[in-house]
Amino acid sequence: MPLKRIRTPVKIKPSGIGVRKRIIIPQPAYRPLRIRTRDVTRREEMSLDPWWFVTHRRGLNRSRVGLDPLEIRAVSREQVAGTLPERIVYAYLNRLGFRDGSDFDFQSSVEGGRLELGGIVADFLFPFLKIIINPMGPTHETYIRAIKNEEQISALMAMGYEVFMIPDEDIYNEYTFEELMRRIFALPNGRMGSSQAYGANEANPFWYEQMFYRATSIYQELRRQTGI
Amino acid sequence: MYKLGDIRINGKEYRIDIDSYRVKDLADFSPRASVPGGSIIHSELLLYQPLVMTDWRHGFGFTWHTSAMGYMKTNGNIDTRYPGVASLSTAVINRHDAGESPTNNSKRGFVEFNNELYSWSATGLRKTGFHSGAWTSVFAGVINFAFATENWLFYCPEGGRIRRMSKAGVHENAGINANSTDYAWLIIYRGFIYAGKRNRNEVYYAEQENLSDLHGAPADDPNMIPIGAGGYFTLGAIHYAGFLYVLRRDGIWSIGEDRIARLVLDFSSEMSSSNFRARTVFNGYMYFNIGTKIYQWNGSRIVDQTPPRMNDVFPYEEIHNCGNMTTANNFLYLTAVFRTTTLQFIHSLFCFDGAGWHKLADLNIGETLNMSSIYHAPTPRILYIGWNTNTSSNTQHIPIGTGVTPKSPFPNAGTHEIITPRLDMGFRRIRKSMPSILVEGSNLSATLGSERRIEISYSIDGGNFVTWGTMSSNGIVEMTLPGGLPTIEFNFIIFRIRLSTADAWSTPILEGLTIRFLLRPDVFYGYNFNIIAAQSYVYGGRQDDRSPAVIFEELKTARNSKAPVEFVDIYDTVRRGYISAVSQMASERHEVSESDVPNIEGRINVNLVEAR
Repeated sequence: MPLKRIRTPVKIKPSGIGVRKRIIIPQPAYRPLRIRTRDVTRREEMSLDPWWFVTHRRGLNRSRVGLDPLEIRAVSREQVAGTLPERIVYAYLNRLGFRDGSDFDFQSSVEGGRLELGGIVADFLFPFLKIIINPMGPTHETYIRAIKNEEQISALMAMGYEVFMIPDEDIYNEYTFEELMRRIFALPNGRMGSSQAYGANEANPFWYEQMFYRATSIYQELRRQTGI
Repeated sequence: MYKLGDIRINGKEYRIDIDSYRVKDLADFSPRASVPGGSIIHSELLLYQPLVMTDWRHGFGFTWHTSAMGYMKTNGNIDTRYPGVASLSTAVINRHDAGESPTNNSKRGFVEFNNELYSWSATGLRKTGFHSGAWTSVFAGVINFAFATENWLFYCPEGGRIRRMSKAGVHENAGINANSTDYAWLIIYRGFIYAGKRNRNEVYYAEQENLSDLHGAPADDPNMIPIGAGGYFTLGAIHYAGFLYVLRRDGIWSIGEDRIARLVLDFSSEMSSSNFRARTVFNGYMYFNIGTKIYQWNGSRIVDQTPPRMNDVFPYEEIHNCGNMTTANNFLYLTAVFRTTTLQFIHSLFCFDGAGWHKLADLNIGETLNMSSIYHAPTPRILYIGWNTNTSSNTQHIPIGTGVTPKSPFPNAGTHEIITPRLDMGFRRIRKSMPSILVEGSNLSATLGSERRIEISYSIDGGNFVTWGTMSSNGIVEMTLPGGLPTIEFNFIIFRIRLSTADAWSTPILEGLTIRFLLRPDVFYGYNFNIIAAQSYVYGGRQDDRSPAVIFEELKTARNSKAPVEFVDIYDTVRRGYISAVSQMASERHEVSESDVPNIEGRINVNLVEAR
């Protein structure tokens, strides 16, 4: 147990004439380390512009202007309260003729899970087609999240839903996204599908992707734990 | 003329510290535009920025480049339904029936029975081979409808008794008695065959496969189903999502399990005999037309899926008249007439894949449509189309096959082209400079007799199309010297990509088009200088009596001006601009002042921005 900090001696015994005695104040075992520093950085000369920090730069400084091409593909924030990938999916579903409240029900992941599903997050729920579409953000790459996703997918499949987890990168790439959505809704020139929309018991076309993500997460977790 | 200063602002002259005079361009040399299609990177990492078009599956109707996969329109036979390619679509083969009398009689419908193709019209029931052959008469007389089951072909003479033909070709009367006459349509639903009477709102149903129990009069059949009141007759029927819907010009009626018709969708404010002429079930939804509008219905909500307008110049090209619909190979096919900018009518075959509309073929040019029918024969996988105008009629077929690419033969004559959207790179008012484009094509050939080419033309800022170049070899070709110039500059540009083939069994394939461009915004400049504010300053032999305080007040007034002020720079060039910043720095105090205000000399730093 560390000694209490003692600043003032409890008792001072006067020394005799001619005798000098050193006063020793016991020090506590743990003392905060204080380093006296002085900031020599001339912050007034600095700029937060990334260009300023680059000492070797080639080419012209060409800023990117115009609307974000991803926002162009998405419905506005005022129309739909959701993340950018969710709004992109929402806009595409509108393009296919699906309407919120009639063909599907949208609840952003930021609003939490659905009460009727026991708290499971299901961003786009198609009650008649029995389809759930979930954009997957970077938080889904962690090991714990991947396991949770797997459990939730199993639960939803037991309820009769076919779940499609779409990574954000695939949503941002319009060509990949087009292929994925055509597959999901059995539109022509998706790699799978027929003239009927997906049923609840069809094989999960994203099985290989999901297994890959899971294997990657497990591998990363093992490396972290074992230090190899 | 004597001047009191180096520069003039807002009509007043000022001396400046010459060393402090700065002029700087404030506009970006060439910012990078955010354009659709950026997911595929074709950049060479040089000066020019690429705009890529490599997929056209969102179809026509995009006047501006708001979708990476959309375009403005096509002319002729172009197929853009497949991923990453655009090609010619299958040629339309004429199967004109010379036996139709009068000559502008249209086939009202087609049906496949016993591996033969039958059609019905005002001339009668006629048949032909799937792929070729002359039409022969099966039954003469106006036929309202023909309907095939496994063992029978039923046909409904107008005003006459319903008849049936067996596979052996034996014709006989159907129906229960002499009142089983004058039917307009038939449909199978839940183990019964329902029949609607022509010009009546009566629907009868039969249980027997040979329709021997089909009634035709209310007195004979107490189970006759009346479809609404008001005297409007039925137009047809369709079954969707487990329900049977009967169509009248005023709406859609559902026949429940109690065999009572109830109005489900009311279009009484848009009544027309052309309503529901086009109707089908596609990909889980019901599609139908109300006038020139195409609606998608899921049983609870309606969405407008009308093909968008097809060009960017008034009068706009849009659907003028709807024909019929059918589905095949996971596509919805529609025949319709649209009117061009030159007020010409073109009867075309459209295709909808759930995401976009594509115009596959122009069937007839010059006349509006009276009637049109379309049918997909599943055995040969051929689309049959019959139509008539006031003066002519024709029957055509298009093989569609089972593959994922267009089926030959392809048209080896005529004009077939894709018109891109207006490409403005997101900035309509900024000039762009374009030195070249990259065209990717395959299945091209320069061999005489089997040439397959891609010809590129461009139009800038709404002008006429200028031919740029032709590609007749596979791979990626860079086309330079547009119009013979090193570069061309424009606000927006439209490309016309024309595909042509001399070989009817092969088509050129367009795989991509990359436009290399540079945004070049107009330049404007900013000025920065120090004005000397001193009393009784002598300049050019004259003395300025203004005090430093007066000078500063003048500049503050100019700074506060809501309109741009006149600015004459040190080279006597006149511009208009705004003072964006003024800051004064005092430098020396003089004891003697010629006014009530202390004489404190100083420098006033001024930032001025050109107003453009």
